[in-house]
Amino acid sequence: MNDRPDLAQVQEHVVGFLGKLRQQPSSLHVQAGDITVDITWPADVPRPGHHAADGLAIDAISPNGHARDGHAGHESTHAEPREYLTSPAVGVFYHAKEPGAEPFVSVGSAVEPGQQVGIVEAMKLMLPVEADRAGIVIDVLKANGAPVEYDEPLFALTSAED
Amino acid sequence: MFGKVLIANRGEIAIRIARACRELGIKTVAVYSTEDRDSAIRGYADEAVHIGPGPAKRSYLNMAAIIEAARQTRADAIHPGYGFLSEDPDFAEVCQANDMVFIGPPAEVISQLGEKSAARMVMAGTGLPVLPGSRHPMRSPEEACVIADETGFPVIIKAVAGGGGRGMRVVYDRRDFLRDYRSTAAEARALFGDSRVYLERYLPSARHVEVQVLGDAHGNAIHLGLRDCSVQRRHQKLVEESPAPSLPADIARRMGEDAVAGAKACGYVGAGTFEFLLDPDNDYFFIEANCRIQVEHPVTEMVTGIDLVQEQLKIAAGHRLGLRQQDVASRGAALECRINMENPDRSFAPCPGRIDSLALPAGPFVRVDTHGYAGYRMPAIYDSLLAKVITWAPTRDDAIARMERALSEFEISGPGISTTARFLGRVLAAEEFRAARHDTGLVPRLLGTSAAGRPAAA
Repeated sequence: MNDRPDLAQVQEHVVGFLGKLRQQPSSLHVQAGDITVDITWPADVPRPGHHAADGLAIDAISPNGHARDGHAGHESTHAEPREYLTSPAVGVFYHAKEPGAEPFVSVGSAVEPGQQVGIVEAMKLMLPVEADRAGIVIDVLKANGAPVEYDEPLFALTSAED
Repeated sequence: MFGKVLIANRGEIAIRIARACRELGIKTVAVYSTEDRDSAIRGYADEAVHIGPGPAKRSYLNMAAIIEAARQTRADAIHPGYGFLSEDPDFAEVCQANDMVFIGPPAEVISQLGEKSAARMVMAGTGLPVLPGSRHPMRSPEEACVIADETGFPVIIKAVAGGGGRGMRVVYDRRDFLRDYRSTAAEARALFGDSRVYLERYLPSARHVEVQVLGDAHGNAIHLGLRDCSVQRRHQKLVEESPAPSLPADIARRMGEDAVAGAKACGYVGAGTFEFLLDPDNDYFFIEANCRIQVEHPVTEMVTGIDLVQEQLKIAAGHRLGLRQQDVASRGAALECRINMENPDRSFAPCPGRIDSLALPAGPFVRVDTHGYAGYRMPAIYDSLLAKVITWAPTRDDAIARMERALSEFEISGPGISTTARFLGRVLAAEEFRAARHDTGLVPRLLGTSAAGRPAAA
């Protein structure tokens, strides 16, 4: 918290930046430390030029670029909160069906409700992690093989609304 | 000794266990459900893992979630507390299979004693007195009728898998027997997933007296004296005390010796309780054994100076008992009052909710075990126990006076909140309680109902 850049200042820049875009991105990820800006455009929307799309979501603006626990976006006046797909159980989280296989989803993937997005292993039982909502994956919050708790955010999604 | 212990429980007992761990230099891991995300243990423990949503089946009874939490945090042992998984032999086995120590007796011992009808027969075989009744779970309503007639009415029908005062019914009249037999079996199936029931003679006037035992993995066992838990409402204890008052010393000694013999006979390891009923002639009968730390364990701690949770941890770590029977001495008298979030004016209906302000008793020789704090929202889906107030004094009369003083200091406020504190004051003031002439009918008499929920005149 102490090393957080001045929030108001960052917010002002982000709002100014968004104003210059012809169309809104589905998500904008800003890291203020060494200045990183990630923009995600909805896959199914044509991209006029290199800046365009419908929908808007600003991720939480924090020094490490990782927002957690649904606090994301609350500080931004224009933003919708990002949404999360969370773990159904305590266990070990896997991105793919088996070691070396393609991950179920990655940043930019569109997900539908009921679609499998990962696996949580609890006592040798492989529990599928299924999306409970539609959206575009904008962040993978847990590494492959990471221990996770119940209800812990695994993926950040854009809001499916609009 | 263990480096880290996971506490698979909630409420006051989770904090009680964490305190013993901290005193022994053991790190603790709390587990919590979504409902308990603001619970005090989350802040007290060194680590905390969110294991599931509110319903216990998916959190505190979810073995996979608890084992995974222990694995992630590299805990060496799991303390189950009371209730939840504490007396589940499968859980004890699962812990072992995952190289974690279950802090409790071995799975086989829990199985044997958990089957209450079988436990009765094992103890009868060891020479402990048991009440007349069935020798095995009843196989048919017809057989049950024959056994009930042989036993003599009134009888009590009990679930083989029962516990926590649930799944039992008293039958006074043989004409009601078949109906009550069927409803108890149905209730047992609903509550415990096991419809088997057995029966015993019912003692209309009895005291509930239990013996605290400790056994180690090297074949040693001792007892830490008796507790009287006769102040009950619908088989739920409200006030407990140690020693058992106005009990002749030779009877108390024999009960203690019998409990130790029973513990040794079944290979008991850890802290456990042997429960007895005591009739007005001071004849006593074994009814069941509990394979866990009990809610009322503090009264024993207060009179013996022995920390039972620390003993559980040492025994589970393989230590020999550091005490011999002759080292155990009971001094003075201790009482425990359970303050539940219940409304005595509305037949003790639970009244959970947000606590706006809370003043807890303190001062000389007063102990309070609680997870409550001002601002805490007591969940509706768990036990209504909020605090245990324990007092000690050189004599029983002084311990009662001290308890009255302690309860007078207890204050709570919040929307819709009510507790049993004032009702407990009525119990303490009752003449038969003061004189230690009370039995399990005391609370029903105070409430104007009989023990079985009938009008007192019946």
